[in-house]
Amino acid sequence: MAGFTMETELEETGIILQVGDGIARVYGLTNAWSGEMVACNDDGLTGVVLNLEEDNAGVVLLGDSRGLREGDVVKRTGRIVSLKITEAMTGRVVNTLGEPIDGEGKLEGPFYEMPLERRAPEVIYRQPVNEPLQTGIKAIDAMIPIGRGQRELIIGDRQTGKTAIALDTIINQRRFYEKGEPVYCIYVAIGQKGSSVVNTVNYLKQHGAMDYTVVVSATASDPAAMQFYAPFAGMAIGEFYRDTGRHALVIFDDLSKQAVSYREVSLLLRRPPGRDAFPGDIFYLHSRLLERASKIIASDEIAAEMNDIPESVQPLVKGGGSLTALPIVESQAGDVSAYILTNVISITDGQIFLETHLFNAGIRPAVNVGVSVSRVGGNAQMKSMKKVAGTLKINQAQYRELEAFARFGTDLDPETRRILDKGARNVRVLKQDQFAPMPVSEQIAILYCGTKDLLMDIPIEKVEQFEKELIALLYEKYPGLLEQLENDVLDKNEEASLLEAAKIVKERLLSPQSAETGQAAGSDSAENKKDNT
Amino acid sequence: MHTDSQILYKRYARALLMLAEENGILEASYKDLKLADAVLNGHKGLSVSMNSPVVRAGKKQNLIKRLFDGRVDPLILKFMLIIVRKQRGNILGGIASAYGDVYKKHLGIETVRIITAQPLDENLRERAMTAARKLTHYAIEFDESLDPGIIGGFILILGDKRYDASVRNRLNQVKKHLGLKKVHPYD
Repeated sequence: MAGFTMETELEETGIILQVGDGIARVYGLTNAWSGEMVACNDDGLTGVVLNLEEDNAGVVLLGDSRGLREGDVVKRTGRIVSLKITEAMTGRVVNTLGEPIDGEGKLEGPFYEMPLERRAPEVIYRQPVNEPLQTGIKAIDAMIPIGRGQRELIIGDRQTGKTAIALDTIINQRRFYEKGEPVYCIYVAIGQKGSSVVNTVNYLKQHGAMDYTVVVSATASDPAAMQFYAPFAGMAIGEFYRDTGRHALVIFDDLSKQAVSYREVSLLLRRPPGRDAFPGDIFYLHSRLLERASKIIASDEIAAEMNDIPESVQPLVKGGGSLTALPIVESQAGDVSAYILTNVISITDGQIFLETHLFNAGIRPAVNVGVSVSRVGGNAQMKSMKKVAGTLKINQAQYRELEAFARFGTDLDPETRRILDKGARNVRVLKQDQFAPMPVSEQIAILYCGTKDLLMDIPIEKVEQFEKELIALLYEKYPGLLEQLENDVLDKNEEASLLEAAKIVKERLLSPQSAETGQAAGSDSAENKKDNT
Repeated sequence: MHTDSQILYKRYARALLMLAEENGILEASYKDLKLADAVLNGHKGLSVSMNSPVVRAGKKQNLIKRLFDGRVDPLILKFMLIIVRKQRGNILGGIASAYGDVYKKHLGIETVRIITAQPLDENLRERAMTAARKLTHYAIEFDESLDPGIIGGFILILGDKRYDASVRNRLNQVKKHLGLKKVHPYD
């Protein structure tokens, strides 16, 4: 009981006139602010004042409204809706208010209070995106590079591997965590099944990714207000890392469900509906959310003066941090002209477009290279990767075009044939298993072979085997080379070594008795690879 | 609860108060409206017929005349008849009950609701009065009510301000501190 003082304070209150559908109309609360938290009962039920009207306030309830009655007293708290963040939050699953919901006990302090709604950093506190965020996915790191501080949208129909890309990206950050330069990840699950969230957390645990990851969960059974505030909670957690000079990655899975819950709340608050019954400020909802993803200026002095820094974090502020956002939006039957989708496309700095027919054709990740772009990531891409994969995107787009044409079975000139052969091999190169993100050095090595025509003699069905063996060989015989590639060095020496290694693997694969022995060697060297890593 | 109409009642009450002051019948008007409050809100049948849109305004006027003619100041009666004629008979009761507050406020007296577990004794009254002075600069009049559920102490309510010095509230604070009760995220 040490330090406990009993205080009676003057409270400002209101009286509930009406409760229903997670909304309470409250008479009184004359001085309440918009976005203020109010205490709706003595058992921890919180509400947020969203509508201030002439004679009442519209309060959304962040919990079960059973037990609330007309005439009950609602108290002001004097706090804007916020959550308390602690360093111990990594590895935990929390709800929108930052309360742990994984049954692993209380969070330990010190706590830093971060508001859910906060203005984005102004222009002088920002810096252009210049550091890569490695997703570990070849197709993305090579052709649609993402930079730290960027907002890259992931679009696709259901079951096209949107979440898989996000999870792989989180898992890939394990390398940076081990190196001591962590990219903290925040996975925000909005309106998902509870069981899906559990699966996600388990996958992350299995791959050792929970050490640096916070999961914010607002499942389908949570009140709509909890769901639409969840991405804001994720952002607030990310901002804590960003403002303390560290790097963070936040994933919103997904924003279409969030928009639906915001629509629900808005309609219940009797705000006028617009297109598809979404409220007029749905664009602003997403733009103000995503605008908070940013790369902060390197100078500590300037960063310390950043706008709207919460008091508790002020002493810890450092420059150079970043917050990358990967929002996910689900499309319906490939329709890219849907309302929310076009909104978010126009807000973000590019999109990764996933397609069902590619997915079903076994091309996974099912990235449609032609329509996927990254508007700012190019500046952040590693030089050696740029050198290797610079022409890959255009070549693949060209290949897709010719591929459709070649189906007519006409005689093809040698140049067209060459483009088709190369494209088909590169499609194989870009295929990747789930939960197997690749370090950038390996990516450069294999993409080098693909783009420099070193795979042309290899039969298409042996491309994957080539990749496996090449990488095994590199770990076995050229560990120095991989290190150089990791450090963004790709000069004549490295190129020579790569050519040499590719030649060895090629010879091994193409020799007559390679059919069995080659495979045996492949599996052997795969084990070697594990030892080396 | 007609809280959303409170603003409306008060607006009419204030207008009537100004009129009464102009005509020098301030004190009488308070007495008259108190009577009207008791009559209009005290009889269910009467308030039903005043609220009913089926009963014509003329009938309602006759009713008001027969009830209040000679018993209240002619000005107050006229006011009531105008309200009824303008199809606002349903808010007459509300205006009458809001008039008391408006009148007291005009005189510089504020009614503070006080909830206690047992009838107020001198000691408690004094403590409550000290606390109540923090709420308002006006002279204070207590509107007392009992609620054994608060165990002890008192709760003061003035408008949307509330000063909870009850034993129940203190016990809740202790419970929260000991982790026996769910804590709000902002606590």
